[in-house]
Amino acid sequence: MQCSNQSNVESIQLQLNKLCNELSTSKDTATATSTSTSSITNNSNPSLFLIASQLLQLLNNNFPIISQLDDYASKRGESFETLVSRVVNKNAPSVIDLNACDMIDVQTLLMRCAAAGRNRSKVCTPVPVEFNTSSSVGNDDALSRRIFRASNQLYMNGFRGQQQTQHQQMHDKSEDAKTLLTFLLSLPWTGGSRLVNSSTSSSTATTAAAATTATSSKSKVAKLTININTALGSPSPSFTALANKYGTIQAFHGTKIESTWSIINHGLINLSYHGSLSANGAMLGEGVYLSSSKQVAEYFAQSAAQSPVPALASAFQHECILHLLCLGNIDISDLEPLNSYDITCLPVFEATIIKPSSSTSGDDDSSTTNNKASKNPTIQDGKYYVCKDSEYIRLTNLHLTIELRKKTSIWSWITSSSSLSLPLIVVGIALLWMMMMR
Amino acid sequence: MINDVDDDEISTILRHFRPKPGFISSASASKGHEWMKSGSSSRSKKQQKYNRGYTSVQYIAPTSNDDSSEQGKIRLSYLHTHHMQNNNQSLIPIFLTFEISVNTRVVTCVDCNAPTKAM
Repeated sequence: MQCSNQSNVESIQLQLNKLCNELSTSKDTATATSTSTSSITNNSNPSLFLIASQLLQLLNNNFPIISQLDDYASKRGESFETLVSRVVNKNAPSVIDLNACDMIDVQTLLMRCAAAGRNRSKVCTPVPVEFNTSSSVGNDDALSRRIFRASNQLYMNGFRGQQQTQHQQMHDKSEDAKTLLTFLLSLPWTGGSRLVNSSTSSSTATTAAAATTATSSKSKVAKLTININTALGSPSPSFTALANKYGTIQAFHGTKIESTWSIINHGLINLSYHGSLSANGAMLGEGVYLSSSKQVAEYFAQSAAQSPVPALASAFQHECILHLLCLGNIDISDLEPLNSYDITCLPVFEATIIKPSSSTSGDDDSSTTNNKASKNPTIQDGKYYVCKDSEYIRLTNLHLTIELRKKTSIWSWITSSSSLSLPLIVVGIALLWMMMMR
Repeated sequence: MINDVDDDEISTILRHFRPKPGFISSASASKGHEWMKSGSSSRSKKQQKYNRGYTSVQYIAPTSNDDSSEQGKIRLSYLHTHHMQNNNQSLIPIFLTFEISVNTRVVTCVDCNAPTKAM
């Protein structure tokens, strides 16, 4: 057992040492627990599965330093604000890299949208464990309200360190905001693990954003790309084996913004078995549908955004949108209040998948292959790919297109297109006056 | 296959311990996203439920600089939120990251942000 921070995790270290020793010397234990993991090799070493299970069990049940933390905090604890500033300041912002604040903006937007979607109590995952109270489980509105309130508090409290003092009085009322921020920072794809220890920063400092913009008098469009490839770890050996055999290709998946939070955290999952959640059917069989064309994926994202749920408009009414627009080089100095815009956010995931073999194009070769490890999980039909196993889809980028379009009202139409409408109005009034005179 | 380690062992770890959305998981997830521990040594007893404090599981492939016998690592990230009693500072978040060597099965704590002088 080795540890880079001996003084902090000594208790964990001791318990894990004991655990590892026990596991290493006990073959019987591994045998007893292998009933559910028949695929695991049972040699002299304890199985990885068993070690991981025991480790999580130890952490969940007997977190070792709780009592010491109580003693420490009773003397002098690190304030939450200090922690946040310490975490945030470790990320040096650059021109194209998203720093921690920018990532929190993305996370906040995606989580709020997930909390606004249909079936949000199920689809809006992950959320902090503390938010899943007995009253919020299965209750769409309770969870949604709590996430909205927490994210509002988070920005009102000024986690960026700017408005901290003027909102200090809200300190005691922002437990949910603290919980939410802690949770967001801990998610590994956001670089959360690098924020707290520089020893792992090199492996997770991969989240970057590139932005392109388009503006007009009526709309503002920001396009952000979030690179999440290596932040999700290395490909599994089975993926690598298939990649070496068949090769890999890039593919795209367009979806609705409400689903993006779950996808970016859990990956693309085969929902063909879930009728209500499978929006576009499964014409080519069950699996995750992707396209070789980004335009096709964008079309599906646009189609999904055609009939937004009403609560989605509320999800967009948040400060995080402004920060993301700034990140996309949008000038927000002339921006009107957000509620005067129709806001859409189109997500397109870019992924690396196993290249379909020629024999599997439009046809499944599963019947001719017995070994699962050598089976090509991808079939192709034109521009579409169907990947039957989610394990063989590696997300690489998330392309977000945020568009603000000025709401059109009758008065704004009249004022905006006065060159055409004014003569018509004059003619109409004249005709009305003539009719009245008769 | 990587040396004497079955690839499926790593795939099983990733598949099983990767957090799943509520609509995919079984009843355990729909009841507050609790983690159903199915691989622990207490399988003979009734399955226990735990709060899912960890946040991710990843596979870290060996780099070219590593020893040739190295087979990569399983990385487990864990978030523990400790709620203080009788204190204004009511929440202390602790991130922990562990790595399990596939080759040696040694568990290593590689990241811990617990407040200094906590011990």
